[in-house]
Amino acid sequence: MRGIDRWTPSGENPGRRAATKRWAAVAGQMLLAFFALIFLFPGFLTLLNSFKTNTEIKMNPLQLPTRLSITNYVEAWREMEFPVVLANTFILTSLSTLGIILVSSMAAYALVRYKWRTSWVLFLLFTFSMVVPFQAIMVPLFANAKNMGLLSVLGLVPIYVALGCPMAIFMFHGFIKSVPEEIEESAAIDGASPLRCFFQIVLPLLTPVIGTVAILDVLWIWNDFLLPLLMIPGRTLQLAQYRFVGIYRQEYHLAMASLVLTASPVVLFYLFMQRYIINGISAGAIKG
Amino acid sequence: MTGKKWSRVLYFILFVLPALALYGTFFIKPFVEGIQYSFTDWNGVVPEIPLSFERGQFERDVLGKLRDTHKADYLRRFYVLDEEGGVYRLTTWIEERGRERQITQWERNRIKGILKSVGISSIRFIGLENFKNIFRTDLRFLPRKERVYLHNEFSDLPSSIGTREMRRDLIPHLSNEERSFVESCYVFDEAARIYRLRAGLEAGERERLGRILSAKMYRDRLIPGVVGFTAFFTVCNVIFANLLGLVLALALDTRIRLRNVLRSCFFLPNVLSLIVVAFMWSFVFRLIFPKLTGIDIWLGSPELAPVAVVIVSVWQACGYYMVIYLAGLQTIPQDLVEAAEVDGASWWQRLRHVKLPLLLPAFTICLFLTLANSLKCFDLIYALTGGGPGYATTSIVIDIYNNAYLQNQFGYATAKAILLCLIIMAVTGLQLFLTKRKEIEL
Amino acid sequence: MKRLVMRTLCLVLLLGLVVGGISAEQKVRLNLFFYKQEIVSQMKELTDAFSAKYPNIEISLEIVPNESMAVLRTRMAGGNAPDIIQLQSYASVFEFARAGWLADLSKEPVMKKVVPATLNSVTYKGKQYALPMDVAGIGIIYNKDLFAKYGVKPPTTFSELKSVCATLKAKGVTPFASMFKVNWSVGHFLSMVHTTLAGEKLLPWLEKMNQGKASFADPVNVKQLFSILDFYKANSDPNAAEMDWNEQQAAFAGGKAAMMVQGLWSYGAAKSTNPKLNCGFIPFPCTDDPKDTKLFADVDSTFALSATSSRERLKAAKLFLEWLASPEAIKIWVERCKLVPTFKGADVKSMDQPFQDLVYYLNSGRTNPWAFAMYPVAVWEDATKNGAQEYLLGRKTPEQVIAYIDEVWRREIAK
Repeated sequence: MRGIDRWTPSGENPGRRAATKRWAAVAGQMLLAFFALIFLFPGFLTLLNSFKTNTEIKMNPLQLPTRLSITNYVEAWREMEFPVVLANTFILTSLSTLGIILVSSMAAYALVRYKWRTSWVLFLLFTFSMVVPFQAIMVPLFANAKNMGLLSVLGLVPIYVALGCPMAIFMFHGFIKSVPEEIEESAAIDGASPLRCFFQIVLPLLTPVIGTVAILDVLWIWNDFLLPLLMIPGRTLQLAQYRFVGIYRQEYHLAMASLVLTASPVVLFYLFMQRYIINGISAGAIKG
Repeated sequence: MTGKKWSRVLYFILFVLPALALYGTFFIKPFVEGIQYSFTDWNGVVPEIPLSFERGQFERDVLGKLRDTHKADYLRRFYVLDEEGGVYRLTTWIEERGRERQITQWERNRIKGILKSVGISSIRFIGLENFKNIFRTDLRFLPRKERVYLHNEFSDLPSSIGTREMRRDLIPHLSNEERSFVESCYVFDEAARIYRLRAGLEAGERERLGRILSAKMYRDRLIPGVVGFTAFFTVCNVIFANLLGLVLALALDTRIRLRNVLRSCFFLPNVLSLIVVAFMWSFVFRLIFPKLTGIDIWLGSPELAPVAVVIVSVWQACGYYMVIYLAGLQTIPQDLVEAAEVDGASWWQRLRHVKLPLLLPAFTICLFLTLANSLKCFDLIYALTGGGPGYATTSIVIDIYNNAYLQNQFGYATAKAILLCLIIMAVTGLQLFLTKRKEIEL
Repeated sequence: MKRLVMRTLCLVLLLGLVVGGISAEQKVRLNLFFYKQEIVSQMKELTDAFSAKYPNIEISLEIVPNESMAVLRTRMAGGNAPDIIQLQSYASVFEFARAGWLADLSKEPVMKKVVPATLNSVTYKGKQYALPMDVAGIGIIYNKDLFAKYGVKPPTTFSELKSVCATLKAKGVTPFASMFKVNWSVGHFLSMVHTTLAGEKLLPWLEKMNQGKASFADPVNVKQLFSILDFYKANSDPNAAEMDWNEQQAAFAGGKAAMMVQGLWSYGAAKSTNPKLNCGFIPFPCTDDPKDTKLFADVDSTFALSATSSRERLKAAKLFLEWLASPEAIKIWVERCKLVPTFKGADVKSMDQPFQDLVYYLNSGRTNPWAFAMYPVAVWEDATKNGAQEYLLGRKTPEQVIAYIDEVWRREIAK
């Protein structure tokens, strides 16, 4: 049992302690709630404005909508060809994220457990990409992808896995280090192969990291812009909604509606995945 | 025993190979190819292999010089004389087995190689010239002193001049005669401590005064340049994003009510697309910030736009780092914290001596990520200010993008990108070294 | 659990195949790359009408609005040029023509159908590399109702403009809705005033400039040039530095400001914000001689063809260009896209008043060319736009702005 109700310095008389306790709890929660409101504000405004006309938005974005009609949503849905781009984005994101998690957890496991010089060198090689701006590889990457016939939704999956695995390896690497080796050793003595060891013993222990990596990668790929713009223009949600706002066209009413349409699947995904991060509490207890 | 060694090697390869193969194909290879451009003067538009040749030039300078007939025949497959017979044109679509296909990169490279062997190449190798130019000729890149004139000769005369401007930026630059003239026009007001323009000046006097002010009232100011802004942005972003992320994580790692809801709120900025983030903030800066701060211009002011960019960036990033800190906090064994509490440690002591040291791995990750991400930050700044006003919020990555795509200096831009890689490697390398040492100490 | 995962995976893969799969057919399928995002659905209508006439040619559209040049270059560097490319006039066309990417269209019959004066914008070394498609103007879009209400007339000289602004200001109306937060509009403004003041000297000066023998300051009186910028700033909203296109539209359409110095493409946006808007379009006067007051108007977008397409595709693409001159296509271009076509004798009577004004200036020959489109790309994108913005924000003196433009220009021609 821990929590805000115990956030008080000990060693004072009980009456004052209780008062301070309540005061601290209320103040802390108020502050946090206030902060959360600031963070929520843009999202709230987006939702609010998605019901208004373009003129209303431009004149005063703060005003409440005068009507509650879904015409913006209908129009955005139609112009974006929502079902098709949603399917594309969903396939791209889910396959890429699954690929990243599988490929990088395996690699990170080997890089931690096989304590050779090669492992350290490879780890550095992987982390290296995190310091390279995408613009540096953009032109040759496109030429290569085109050459291999990868300019399609499915073709982008291996590219995302390749670009996403350094970050994931980096995170898995940090957490696998804290998983004790004893269990695997005893399993190995019982005759389990390293592969089985990994999938049956290590992988389940990694749930909180997998959750974190999944969330971060899903968000990255779902919201990514430049790579799909080069490779498969117009075929993901981000690209489809980008057409509403540009230098010479600013249809914010459609942009807002398309944003709500585009963001709601990831928000749902995030809310769903949160559970797994919380489950990590118990996983963390095992490690200690 | 050797059998076991080999099986260990095999398993290692089995585990690492998928990641390594993909990484090699889609990152290392393009990166190495990219490095090659940084030593050339390629402008990013000229095709790597010429799309057409004048007939005479092709027959004389290319086919004539090729001794190997296979190579000449190979070229003839792709360069075809056009209908009028004056020009050899590259056909990028060729017929093969009844189907039309585009020529492959491999074929392009072969053509490039053959042409290179006779000395034809559309890209010139210029060695380290690009890297030298970054420091020698790029006016926007490094911080430098620039003279800022405080009065514009086309504007009306200022009705008052502050003491600081008068005594520091104007008087020292004047001759004795000019000085007495200016002091006769601007009278010191003891009460308000400013110089006020005297009423009833003649047209000639006004004109002379305007000339003097526009030519002699100036100060030298340090213009941060692209490097200066990037450094400012990185330092602020690293400090505030980590601090806020950590504080939020600590606050949410308790049993307060609505914990899940709050956590989602803080993470929400990461879910929004940048167009809308940029739009929302632009009107927050225009409509709401002036009322809170009394300052009217934010994103349009060269002085405050960098601050505004940092605010939005921290707002967006801290939820992300909060998630990593939360994951780190959850690996801290519960009994350790409780044991400390039983021993009478205060909240602060528990934080300082139990939680923070155990958070170091998460801290290492977050610091590394904030450093690398701030130095690489593109989308957010691009959407919010586009690097402006002027060059006030142009980070190195935006500068690279502008060089490559607005100014047709692709080779030069790649050189800058390589330089940026080196900077990021140095900074993050140092950071990893320091934090890792700390981790081992504990 | 495992079965569920497998099923989901299969479903995902199947979906992917359905979406990603392309059925092979004998049709010619052309790629059309365009950047004008205000006509996305209209372009679809245009190509659908074409395909209805030529069923064996299909045109797939690809819209890349804001980073169009970056994407196009990356594609081309990878050896992948679209068959039909929408390009901005002058510099962009020249750049790709010089690199050899564009097909020579000089001998195409369709080139005879456009107004000859527009061909300048696509002619590189004596050959035409693109089909000019629409003419746009940059000038003062003014609110006729506000002008009538306060009893002012559209100005034809700089003095008249000054008095119009003074009257409006006295009545509490902002004369100009402006946007200084983003640099492109002020860049247009600087180039427009510079061009107007240069007048006849413009083309000889450009030639000298490209030989490295001149300065941006040469054809104009610098003091006059920058005092017009000062004038513009003094008559704009005090918060103009915090305004972008969106806020500019809102201020103008909402009647808070009586004029905006903008391209005519902005009219559509303002009109959609306030459908009751009643506007006119006039040149921005810079001198007191009404003869100098010419509209800053020129070819905006063009269609070019890739020289690397196969013969069959090139033929189909030329057919498309040819078809664009047909009455049917012009009708879509005018009525649906709301763009002023370059074809001789095109019927534009259905368009709104500001477009009629533009056509009036075009027909009477009272126009200045878009000089900014003739500057080297880096001079325009970097030095001019940023220079104008930094001057208006008080960051640079006229001398510094001009020195930087000259320097970038010299660097560009040295390449």
